[in-house]
Amino acid sequence: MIIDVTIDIFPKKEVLNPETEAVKKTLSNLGYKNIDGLVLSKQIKLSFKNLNEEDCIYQSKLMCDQFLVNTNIQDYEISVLKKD
Amino acid sequence: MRVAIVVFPGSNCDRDIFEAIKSISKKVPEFIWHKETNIKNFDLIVIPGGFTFGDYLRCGALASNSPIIKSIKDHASRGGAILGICNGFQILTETKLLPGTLIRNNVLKFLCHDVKIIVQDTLPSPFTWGFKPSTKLNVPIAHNEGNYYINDNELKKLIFNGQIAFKYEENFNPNGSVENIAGVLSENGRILGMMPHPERSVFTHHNSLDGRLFFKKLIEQLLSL
Repeated sequence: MIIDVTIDIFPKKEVLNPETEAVKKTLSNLGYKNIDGLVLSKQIKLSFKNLNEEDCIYQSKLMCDQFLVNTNIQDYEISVLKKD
Repeated sequence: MRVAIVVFPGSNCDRDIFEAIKSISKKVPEFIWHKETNIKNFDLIVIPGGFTFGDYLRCGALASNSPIIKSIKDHASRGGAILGICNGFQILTETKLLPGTLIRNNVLKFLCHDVKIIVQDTLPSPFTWGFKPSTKLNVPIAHNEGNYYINDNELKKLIFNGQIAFKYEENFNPNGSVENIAGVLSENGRILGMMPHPERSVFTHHNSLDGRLFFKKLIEQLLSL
């Protein structure tokens, strides 16, 4: 069985992200004046084999804390996409 | 005195540091490939600048998981001196040997120019002992992610412990770093990470010789032990 997991990584709210600010400003310059919030995130998709859903989530969390995410400046969300 | 210069794929300031240290100490530093797992008896380990592993994922993230890192951590736990410059600083924060993180410059540009950094009143450290606090050093920066970020609680600790080694001049903060921070020390003062490049102000064809003074003071201190 294959289980797909998606990890979304985005800057913590308290960290001022200059890229986000620049994109927001450009959208405003393009005339989109009603944007209140904007988040630039990074997405990692993993496909696991021979693991149950609980272990997939557990391993994904370990990978995030160990390597994929710098928790000083980033938060992350893990979601299970689909099961075949 | 034995100096190791760690080389990763994408390191590009290793030769500059080699020439700087060799010309000042008259000793020949050793290049150590990042796959080495057993490095011992060095007085100083230098992690040079560059774009290790293409800065993929985050600056320094892949390098901080290289085989050599365990040896570097062992060296740190024995109180060994470590200097990380630019990408080397980013690697040291990713390994958690130094606090904080280097994020994208707030001006969204790669910055490459001379800056003046001010030596701070620090805890005892071989990297700052030779300078009176408030001494200004003219050294170049060359980075895209040099914006030092640390949360408020951790910043208070840095200030309280005297771990801020260098600051950019007030009103001349090039990259948005918290508190104008250009370099930080570990809690025991034996590890320094800094964004500016002292190895690029060592010879008369450089814009300044202040980096030469920095290495000279550091080497004097390491030799005196």
